[in-house]
Amino acid sequence: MELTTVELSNLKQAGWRLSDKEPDAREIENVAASLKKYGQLRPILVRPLGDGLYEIIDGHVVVDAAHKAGFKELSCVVHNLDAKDALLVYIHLKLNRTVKNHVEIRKVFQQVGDAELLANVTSWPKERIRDYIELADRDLNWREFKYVAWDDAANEQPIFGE
Amino acid sequence: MILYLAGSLAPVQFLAMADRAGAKNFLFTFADKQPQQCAIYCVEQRRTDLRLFIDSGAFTAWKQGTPIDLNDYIDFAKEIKKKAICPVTFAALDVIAGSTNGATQEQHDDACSQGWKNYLAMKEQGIQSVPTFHQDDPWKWLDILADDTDHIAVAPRKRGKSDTEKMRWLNECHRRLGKRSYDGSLRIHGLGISSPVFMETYPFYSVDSTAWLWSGGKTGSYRYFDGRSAPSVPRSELDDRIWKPRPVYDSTIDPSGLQALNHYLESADGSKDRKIDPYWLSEQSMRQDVRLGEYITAHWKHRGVTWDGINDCGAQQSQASRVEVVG
Repeated sequence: MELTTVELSNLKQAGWRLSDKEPDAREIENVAASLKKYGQLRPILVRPLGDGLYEIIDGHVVVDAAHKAGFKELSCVVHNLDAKDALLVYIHLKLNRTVKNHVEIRKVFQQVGDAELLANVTSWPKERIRDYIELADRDLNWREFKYVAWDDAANEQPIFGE
Repeated sequence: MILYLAGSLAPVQFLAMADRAGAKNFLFTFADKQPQQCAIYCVEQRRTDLRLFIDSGAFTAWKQGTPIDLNDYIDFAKEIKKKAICPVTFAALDVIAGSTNGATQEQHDDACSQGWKNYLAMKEQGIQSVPTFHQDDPWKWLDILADDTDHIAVAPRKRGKSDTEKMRWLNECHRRLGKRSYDGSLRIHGLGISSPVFMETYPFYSVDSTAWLWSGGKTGSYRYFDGRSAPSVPRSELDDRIWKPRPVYDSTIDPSGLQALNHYLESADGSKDRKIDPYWLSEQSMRQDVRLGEYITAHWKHRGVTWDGINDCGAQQSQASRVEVVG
């Protein structure tokens, strides 16, 4: 782990950035105002990609706000993590910081796929993580309306007619 | 998706509580005096940020054995429509088939015919209303209703049906309606749908739930939003969770809910004896329903389903162009 200064143009967004909504313009505005008034109060978290480039692990809003506030560079804590570990660290930070709506989180769980690993990182029960992964799978074929209560899925019969 | 809070308190208390909780969408039934008063009070506030659904109360009336008079209901709807500057949706006066022991297919068909006549009578009087298709009604009636209007309600049977049976029925409703159930050309209200699993599974334009009301009272419980649903903590476990300092952040305890608790403690008798006010539980529950509504809206947006006029908060957009009476 090292503390360094990185130019904004060298900071890349992670492909798995979790966003429950579209980027919140008001939040970015607030952080930009704070950056202008107080400067950067704490470093963001990144991982090296090589060739002087870094991927943001945590601090996407700060980077958006820094662009808005006219900053050229930001202080960063650099962790040598591979993509999967960076993702797990981010999930850990995200889930433990506050309760959000979990629409995007299930997609990331599906991407990681390993319920046991996710359970270790997040302290969530494995069953709940599996449920989220299953929900992400259902996102693909929801238009078929084949669902029945989970405990009775095996017994579904076509029962309708005029 | 719009999550209407169904149920009522004294009007002034109800709206103040809803404002603190950030709730904007309410369903009031014509079957009782208090919800009628709440509906009148809400529209008399001349606010554009609320959204009302007026239910005919046919189910309540059926349970109590006192039928609703169509003309009284139409007069009430006209009064609301005259005063409202926020969107108001009226349910058609439907007819529930049979008795609490069940109904024959013939009784279902007769009930549908009568409900259809009521719907047409309301239309003739200038009240565009939302007709209801009930579980076990003949399927032809779903086609008839969906052909005539772009806004219908579907009502799983409240008694004697398991979740599996309700889900199979809802599956079939949506399969029959096909693309119309999610392409924006038909708005479907899920009457009495309060299960987040149902909300996640079917692209309802709106649903209604009385969960906030049941959370209050002496036997109530504390509801919290966990990111996907709103489970309950039994009242007996509340003291420990709320008052004892916790070494780690407890996601079941909502900081804004605790702020609201202070409001109730201060406004009760000034003693601050840390007594949990049942009304606080109701307000807390309303707050969780607002978050649940936001989640379900985001969930469907993620699946590519959005509804005109509904923003990310599941609340009505307040631009002047949206100031209209629906129905």
